[in-house]
Amino acid sequence: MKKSVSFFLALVLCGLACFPAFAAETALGPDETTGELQLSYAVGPSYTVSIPGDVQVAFNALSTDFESVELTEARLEPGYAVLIALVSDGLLKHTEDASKTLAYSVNSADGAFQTAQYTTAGEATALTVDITSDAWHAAPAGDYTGTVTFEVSYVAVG
Amino acid sequence: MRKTAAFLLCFMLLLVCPVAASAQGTPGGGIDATIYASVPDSHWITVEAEHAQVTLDGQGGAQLKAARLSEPRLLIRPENGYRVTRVTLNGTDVTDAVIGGYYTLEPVYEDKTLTVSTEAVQQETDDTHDISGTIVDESGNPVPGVTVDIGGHTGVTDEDGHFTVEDVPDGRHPVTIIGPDGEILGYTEIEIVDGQIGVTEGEDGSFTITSPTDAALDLEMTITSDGRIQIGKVTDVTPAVPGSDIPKTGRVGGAAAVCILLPAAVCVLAVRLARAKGKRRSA
Repeated sequence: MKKSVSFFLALVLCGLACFPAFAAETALGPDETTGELQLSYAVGPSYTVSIPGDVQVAFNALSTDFESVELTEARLEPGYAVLIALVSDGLLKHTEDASKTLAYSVNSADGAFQTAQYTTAGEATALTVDITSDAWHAAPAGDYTGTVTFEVSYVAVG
Repeated sequence: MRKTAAFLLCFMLLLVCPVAASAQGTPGGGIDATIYASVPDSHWITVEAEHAQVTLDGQGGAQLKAARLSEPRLLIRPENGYRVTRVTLNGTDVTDAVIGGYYTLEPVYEDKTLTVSTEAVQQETDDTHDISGTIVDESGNPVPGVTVDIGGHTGVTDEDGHFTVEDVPDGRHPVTIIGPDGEILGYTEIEIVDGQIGVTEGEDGSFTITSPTDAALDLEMTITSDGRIQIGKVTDVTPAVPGSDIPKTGRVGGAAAVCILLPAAVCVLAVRLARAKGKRRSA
């Protein structure tokens, strides 16, 4: 019984094992000087995006560097792009009393940042976290935190 | 044979063994970043003052600590012989906002610098006054056992709130009422000038007391709930000269008939000598 089971398992393993593959050799006739070999390989799109990390805003700072969103590597299909969208409620919340908030905005050189679309590796957008002086002046004492989400998607252009 | 089969089985297992794989990020998903910020619970008020002291809730020094978003009320007191000429906050002139020596800031949301400028006060002549009076609170109750400091001349109130301060010269003086524990209960500034007896309050909360020369004065002073001193009434209480017609109030109507017969300069001199004589007798 044991031998039978062992033999059966061995057969199953052999069936699952990878075997090397070889191309069949084509013999050329006396009048043939070349042969054709069709080789096809599908390359899927790939990309790498760099997203800003956590940031500490100094008290009374009106604008704080928030690093950049960047398409660091890209192998995209023609007519497609990488879309980065920012999702944020624009409010830092007091850690002990969520009713106390400190308004902020995420901006690029062109103004409020909402989305960016890249097709080429190296494309980037520098970002800042901005808080107005009026917002600072009115903020009660304490610690505040807020979360922004960068959503990355692969989209058709146009 | 068995060993060989076992070896082959193990080898096959290694080949087909699944290897854990993980992806760095998921295309189409979200990546979070957190923003942190901190707001302090207090701020510093840096004081730059020469010949003046600035206190907050009785605490003085070169830096005063104020709770964030509070409205601190500062007391600015010049040294004796000086007057405050200008007060700035972060460079903005706020002199007009100083009333009776007190200045209340708007809600504090950042560090501030308060600068106080003073000038020496030219004291008037040798005219001096003995000043007595009564200290009461806003309910009219006497305030006993407190020190009254008028330009460095001091006295202590008795159980009825009465006090006496001697030899206060004409001129401008800070007036401070100090409690038994050293706390400042009330503050104002007065300026004593020659003239008919009277008192007026200025726009800056100080008081001008007009007084005949060398007159003894009685002041009715009230300590308000916000730490100011209100002077309600000033009376000339210079003692009358015994045997003369010159009354305590300083009016000279009784001696008018005599003065008519004398040159004016001699008449005035006679009145002044009578006052001085009466004053020495009462002391």
